[in-house]
Amino acid sequence: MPKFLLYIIYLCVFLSAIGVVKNSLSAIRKNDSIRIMRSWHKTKAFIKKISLEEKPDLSLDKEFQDVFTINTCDLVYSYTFNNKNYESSNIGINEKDNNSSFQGDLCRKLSNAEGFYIYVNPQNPNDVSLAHNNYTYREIGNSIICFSFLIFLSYLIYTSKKYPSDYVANQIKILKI
Amino acid sequence: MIFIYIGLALFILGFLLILIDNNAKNWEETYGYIIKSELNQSYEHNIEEGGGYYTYEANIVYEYFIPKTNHKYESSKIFPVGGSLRSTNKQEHLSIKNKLTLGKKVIVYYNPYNHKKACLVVGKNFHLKILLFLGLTIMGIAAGIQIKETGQNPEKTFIDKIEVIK
Repeated sequence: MPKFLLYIIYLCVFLSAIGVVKNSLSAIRKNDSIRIMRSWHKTKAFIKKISLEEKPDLSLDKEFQDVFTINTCDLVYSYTFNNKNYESSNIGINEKDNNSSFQGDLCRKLSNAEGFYIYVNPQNPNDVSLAHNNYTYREIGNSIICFSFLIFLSYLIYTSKKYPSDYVANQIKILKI
Repeated sequence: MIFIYIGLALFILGFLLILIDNNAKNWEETYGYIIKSELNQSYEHNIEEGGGYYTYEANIVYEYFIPKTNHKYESSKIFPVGGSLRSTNKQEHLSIKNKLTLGKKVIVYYNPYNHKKACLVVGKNFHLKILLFLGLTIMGIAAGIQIKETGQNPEKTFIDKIEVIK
């Protein structure tokens, strides 16, 4: 195998190994938070207010804010935990996934409902989520992809070391005439 | 999903070829003479990117004799399975060509049930293992992509999980 190709493979092995470690750690971290969330108490919540509102997109420049609006689900609900009443508008999803289309879909799902089940953090009852997050698929998928590359590239390096260029020639048996 | 099957097919093919290669260890042994020894070189054009690269192949032909029958056959195979060994590794082919010069007497392994099938090396074709690993890798990548796609839409999954009280 040419040396430059071997160096590229070494680099790819290194990058794949980083990918495996990074994604695995991320999956473990998220899995930990998911596991913790599993201990949260499921309770009933009742809708006090729900409406879908169009608001300026504050992430854009000022002149575009009123042109490109975003949907926001204005949701307020109440719930009881340990005989105490609470009111919240928390949804419990990452900000990056909490986009305009998500807000629209959420409002459509809850608009005709009387209430819904929520998960309450027993340590801090103000901390609630409408559903259990389970987002480790992406990290697990990435880990498997990086791991597959890692194994294959490592095998190529192993092959180039174990079987040098004259390996096949050395296996052929010559007889003296 | 199709790539999982492609990977699986490559893996099974690689496994079967390795079995056949290993099974050839039971072939009969005889001797033969090298009657052709050349290094073929060809230039592969890369139309998309321009330019290209050279590939090499040791073109070896030997004749061998089947004991008792006195029949003579010719073969160009180095391994019992797999076609051309053509590759960009010039050194590998050059070392084969340099070792197998014209008239050299070599040990030849032939299939006792089909005398036309013969080779110079049995059970040591490491190129076949690459096929096995390539199949595994394609399966792994396809499975990873499949799992990733499952979690591609976390917002929808989240909304689906909300339990509504009517």
